[in-house]
Amino acid sequence: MNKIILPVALLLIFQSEKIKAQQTLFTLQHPDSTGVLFYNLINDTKELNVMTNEYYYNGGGVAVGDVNNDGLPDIFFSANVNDCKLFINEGNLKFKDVTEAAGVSATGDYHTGTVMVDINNDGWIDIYVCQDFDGDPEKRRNKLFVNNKNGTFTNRAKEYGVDDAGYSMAAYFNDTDNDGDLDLLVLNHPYQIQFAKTVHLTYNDQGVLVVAKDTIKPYESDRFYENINGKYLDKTAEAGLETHSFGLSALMEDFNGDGLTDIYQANDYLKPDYLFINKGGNKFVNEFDKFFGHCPYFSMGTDYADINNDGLSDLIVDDMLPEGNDRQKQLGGPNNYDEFEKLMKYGNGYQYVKNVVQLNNGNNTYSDISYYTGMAWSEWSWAVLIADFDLDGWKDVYITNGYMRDVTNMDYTKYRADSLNKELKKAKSDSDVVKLVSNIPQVKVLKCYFKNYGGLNFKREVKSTGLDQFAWSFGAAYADLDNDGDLEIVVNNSNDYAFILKNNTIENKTGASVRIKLNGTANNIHGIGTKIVAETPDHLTQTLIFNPMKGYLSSHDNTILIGVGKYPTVDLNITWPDGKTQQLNGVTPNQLLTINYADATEVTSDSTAIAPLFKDVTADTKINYTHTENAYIDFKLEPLLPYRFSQLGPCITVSDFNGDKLDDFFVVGAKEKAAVIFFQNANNTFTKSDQSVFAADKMFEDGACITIDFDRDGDNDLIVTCGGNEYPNMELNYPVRFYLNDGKGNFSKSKFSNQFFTSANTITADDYNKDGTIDYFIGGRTVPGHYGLIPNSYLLTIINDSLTELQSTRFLNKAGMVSTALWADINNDSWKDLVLAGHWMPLTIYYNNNGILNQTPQQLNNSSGWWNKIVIADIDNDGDNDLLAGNLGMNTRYRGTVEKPVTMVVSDFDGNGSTDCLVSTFVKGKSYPIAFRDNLLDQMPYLRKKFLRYHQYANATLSDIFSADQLSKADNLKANNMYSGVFINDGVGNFTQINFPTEAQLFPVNGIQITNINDDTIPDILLAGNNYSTEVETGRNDAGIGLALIGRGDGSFGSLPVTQSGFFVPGDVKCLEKIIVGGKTIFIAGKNKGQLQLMRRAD
Amino acid sequence: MKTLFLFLVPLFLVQQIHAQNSTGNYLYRCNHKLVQVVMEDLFTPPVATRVHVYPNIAAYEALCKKNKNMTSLAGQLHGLDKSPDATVAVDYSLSSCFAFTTVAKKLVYSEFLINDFENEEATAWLKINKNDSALMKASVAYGVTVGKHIIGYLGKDNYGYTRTLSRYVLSDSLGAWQPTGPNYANALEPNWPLIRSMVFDSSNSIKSIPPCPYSEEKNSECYKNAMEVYTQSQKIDSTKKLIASFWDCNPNILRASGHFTYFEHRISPAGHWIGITGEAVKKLNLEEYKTAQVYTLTILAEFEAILFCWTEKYKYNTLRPETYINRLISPTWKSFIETPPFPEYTSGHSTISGAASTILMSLIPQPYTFIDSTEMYIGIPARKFNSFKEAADEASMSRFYGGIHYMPALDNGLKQGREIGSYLIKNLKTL
Repeated sequence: MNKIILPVALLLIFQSEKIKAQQTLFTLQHPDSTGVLFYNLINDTKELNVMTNEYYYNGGGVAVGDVNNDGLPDIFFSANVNDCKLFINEGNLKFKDVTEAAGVSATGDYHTGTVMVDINNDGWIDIYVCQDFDGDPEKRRNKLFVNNKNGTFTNRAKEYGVDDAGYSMAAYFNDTDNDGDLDLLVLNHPYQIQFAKTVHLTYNDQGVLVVAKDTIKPYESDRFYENINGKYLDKTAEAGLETHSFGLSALMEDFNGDGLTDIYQANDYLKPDYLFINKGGNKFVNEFDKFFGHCPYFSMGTDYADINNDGLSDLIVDDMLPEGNDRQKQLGGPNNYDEFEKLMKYGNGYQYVKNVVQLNNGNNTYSDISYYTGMAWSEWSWAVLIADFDLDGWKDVYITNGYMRDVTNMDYTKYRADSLNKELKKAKSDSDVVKLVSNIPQVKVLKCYFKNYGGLNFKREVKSTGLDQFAWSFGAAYADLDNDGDLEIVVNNSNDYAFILKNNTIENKTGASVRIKLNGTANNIHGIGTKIVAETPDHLTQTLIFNPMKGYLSSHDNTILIGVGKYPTVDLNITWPDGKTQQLNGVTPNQLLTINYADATEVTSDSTAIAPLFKDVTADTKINYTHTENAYIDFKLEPLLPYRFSQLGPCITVSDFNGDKLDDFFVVGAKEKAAVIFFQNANNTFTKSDQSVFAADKMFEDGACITIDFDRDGDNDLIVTCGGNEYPNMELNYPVRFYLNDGKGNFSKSKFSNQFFTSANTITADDYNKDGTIDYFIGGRTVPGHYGLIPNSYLLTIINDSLTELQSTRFLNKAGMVSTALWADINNDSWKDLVLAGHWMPLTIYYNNNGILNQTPQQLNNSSGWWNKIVIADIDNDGDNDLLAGNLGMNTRYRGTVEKPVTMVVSDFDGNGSTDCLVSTFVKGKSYPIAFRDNLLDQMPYLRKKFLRYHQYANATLSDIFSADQLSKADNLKANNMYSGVFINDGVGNFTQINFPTEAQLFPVNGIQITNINDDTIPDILLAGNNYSTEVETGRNDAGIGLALIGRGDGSFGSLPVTQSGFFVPGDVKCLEKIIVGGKTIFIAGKNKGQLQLMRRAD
Repeated sequence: MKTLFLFLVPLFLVQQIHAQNSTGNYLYRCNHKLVQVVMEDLFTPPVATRVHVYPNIAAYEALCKKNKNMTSLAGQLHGLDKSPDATVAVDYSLSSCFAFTTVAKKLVYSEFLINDFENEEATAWLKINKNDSALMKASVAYGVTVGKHIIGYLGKDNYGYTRTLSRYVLSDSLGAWQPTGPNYANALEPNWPLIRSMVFDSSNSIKSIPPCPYSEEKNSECYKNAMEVYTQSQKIDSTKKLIASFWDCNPNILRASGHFTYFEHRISPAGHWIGITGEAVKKLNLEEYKTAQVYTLTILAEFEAILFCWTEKYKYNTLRPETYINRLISPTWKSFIETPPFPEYTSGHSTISGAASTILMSLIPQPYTFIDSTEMYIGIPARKFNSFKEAADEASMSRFYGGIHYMPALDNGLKQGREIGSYLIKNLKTL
């Protein structure tokens, strides 16, 4: 093993600190000044280098704790190949290397994760170190350095039963069986990296291809050890925790609030993450899919803490999506759609290369809001630390990142790696290897810090916080190293000195804290699992569950800090793991408080759970109907589509079809699936009716449907449009169809069918010109196979028993990519105007002048969005119609704003007959196309010559890709407003936009219903949405779970948590309709590839 | 750019390029260069045949202006018109070289590699020809003129149109092709059958032979064919392994290890036979007209063979042995060489080898034995063959040894390839 040779000149990043009046939040301390001369040296050798095993580059950990009980936290670093080091804190951020005397170097082994734990609860902290890589299991046995209380330690891992010989990454201690002592989880991984990306398939008894069961091998599976009287016993198999995956980190936390510690495991590579739910008695079951919609593809570090101060812990898992356009385009390519489908089919779930920020909804579901918070990418990331670093009461996020070789650089993998690999095989010496490996691109990356401004608003602030270091950083821990009341950060860097980042909040007088030490029970003396709720006088409630073993390969200090901002006092409520509590009111900051379990008291919970307002009545109505969708992959023809148009159904229309005065409803069918009618029975249930007339039309992908008596015989007829994208260049497969009702709910095709053709998702009918005949507006959504072109819309009327489009209304043909339309009197002149919205278009109103539509519409300023739904209501009760509009939302990569719009150029750039569309978004102030090079070249092969290599495309803007002439001939579309909200009408058509609250911006809104939730006189609304058919790089919009908004009367709304509203409508909701059943209003949610769901107010 | 170029070109080829400088070997050097560029640019096997064939036609058309015994292919290939004549005195040999490179640059991505090659050739020509730069310019200009004529010709072969069509969509039907590991890649070039054939149409098409119907019955032909592949894999010896690797010629292998994946740059089946042709050209020191004839007909036969084979592949959409064997015989079985991502029936390598070898058997004086060192660049030793036919038979069998085809795909592919070769020899007038 090489001894470290310290570089003579220390790195430039440790520049001496100039004294400033107000310092940045953090200042990096010079290692010469702190004495923390720890340098995790990674040398490539013939046997171990990034090409032989990339886990060699995964870095080391940090454990912080007061090992000598002098009141100052000390630091232990695990080094990968060199000696681990222990530094004793001598105060004022001065440290002394005591490794040798302490006997904790673990010389000669390969180390990974480390945690500090008082294994024997003797009041002296011990150190646990994980070991990996060595072919000899004996040299992989994890070490437990037990504190001899005299400055020395002895490895007694075997004695305690924790000398795991697996390929270990990290270890976690927590109480899983509520017996008061700490149990242990050790994360192990397979040795052979080729398992990483292989799906083993096999045929089951029924001859169906399924994923082969993992072969569990000794040393490769996670190990779970139950603490029995202070000794650790391997109970992995009994617990159901045998794995064969590359887990990089885990969290032992209570994810479902049942008082039992569960396990979240973040898995690298193909395997999705696991959420092992604790069923009691140390039995665990993976229930990931019940709780989460998706996970990162390559999950790395994890943390679990309350980021929005709603009392519920939220989850962050990081991945390796690079920051900035340039690196995103060069590192890693697009996902292959078939491969993505295959992964889903074989149970690897929805995985996307990006971080997730899973907001805890409080009902055992989580919603990823990584795009909304701007935390979706942070480079190849490792530790994630959620803590209140600036002591303002809101927890911030620090992420370490970097990988010593950009092995995913596409130019390298496609054009250099082959020859390099051949030469590597021939390499004779370590120096040959070093020379060859140095051909792989190498970039040190900037760390990430997200300041929490409250209300889910995070801002990436790196330079201004003094965290703008470039390095390869891995394990990290926080601790108040100088006991001044704020949290320092310690970072283990590879091929660099460790960082000691001093926090200046107290010096800057910008915040204050209360420091808490827990004095727990005999077998858990640090009180791991204790919940602290802190309330400052502004009723800001922070919740913190003490668990120091989080992040990546590391553990934090046992002293807990509660930021109190500028408030003079804070009230604390402490709940110990066994439920005993104590309340401390009026606690003043700037003190170290020891809280003793002995002082806690038993409390009987007096909080009676309030019943939620809504309940699911699907089963009561006997409706068991699941929407099925044909497998059409729009991307096969149009690789640059932002989402699939073939999955926009179902649409539902409610009406009494059989004349029994009870509401029935009609549900359209996808291609190859007939539409159906549900007739309401007298006993509040429904009966499904299949009719041959609909079966005959099942080759069409139905789009919109409405009910209207178009033949004026007194019953409700149906009009259905075709939607979707399934028939490129076959316009005749998109007929508007009219179905006649015989009065009893039996339908037949009307002669008006098959006269007009377009792919449409909206239709609206009214006699706008008061001539006694109904007029129908059919809004075209897309031109199948030619996304970006404007489809045909039609205004139709029936004159002399024939369906007619009047010459005078043909100006509406190219109204836009319309997704929603309605007739409503906007300017209070008693004439209904035509209101339209769609994608890449503003909210548009064609005013009705005494029965004639204005050819020039009003387009609301800066309202170009991806609108899905508009409804009208007099929200502010001033006598005119306001608009409620559902949009894409802001939890997306396509976040268009007025300053930074999302744009799309559309043209047949290469003149080959296919329409080329290219979407661009702003990245760091500049607009770049979103497409990866491979997708771009797939659509426009002629560009290959221009972009021979990935780096040539990496910084290309539209003007680099296309000539000025090409661009001038192209259509330019734009979206600059993605917020869902209310447009308040002043009565003469001037609108003021009031956005819905944050919770409504987290998902695309497809359904809006106005109702009264709280029984006041002010209208409230229900929203539902999502979009599961997005392109596979961005990932599906699945954060929506339904949302109840309470009106305040002025056009603004407040949101109701699902725990109170009970309006839980998850899935790919495409419509939300209202129906009266047994005198009560019920809401039907139609979901793509999902079951119809019916909800109503609880009695 | 220069360093990148040197980094990628196998050393032995570079030496060969500089070893010969007589004009007769323009086409030898052109074709060798093009094989390297095709590897660099990672073209798939069908697209590679297209990239190879048109430059050779251009060179041939330029050269036949020099020799009245050479018959132009104009009027013989579908849609090909006569090239314009030179209006001034030119060195047609040099013109043919530039006709080749002009078309090659249109077709490849890494044009800069061809530019470098042109500069080398021009410099060498000037040295031999006493710096007659006026003649050089005129010859190059004429070469470019013929090249542009052929570029006009290739522009109408439907390639552009096929790029606008839907990528392959997986079929659920039982016997249908399914993606195979480790990468489960999309099926390559499903629309290739729409490419214009230069020789065949409905009047003279090669007869299609359907594969056996899909069946899972143990006594079915389908099952027996798969069992044959499986049984063979259980007793494969080192010679067969070597043969399978020698003829692997898979230019689309993506190797993955954790986060680190990389693309192997390998020669395609068409490129392999161009290598064999080149070795014969060099060994027999063929004069330039013969050289042009041999290259052009061989590569044209390869182009037509792949076009026919790809039509069969997507007509029958047969699943690979790996899919079938995993389904019914052994769930963990893997083919010895990586299963390429397109339907099984018929074998592209068999068809192309049958076609190319038939041309070579006819145009190269027999008996001809040779040592094929094409695969030495990836460390596979050279192999000795007693005839082109023998090499083709072995190339075909290698797909069985490799576990990626059933026997009928080889037998029928080889047979159809030979029919294509024979048809060309019989019906195309060249020299």
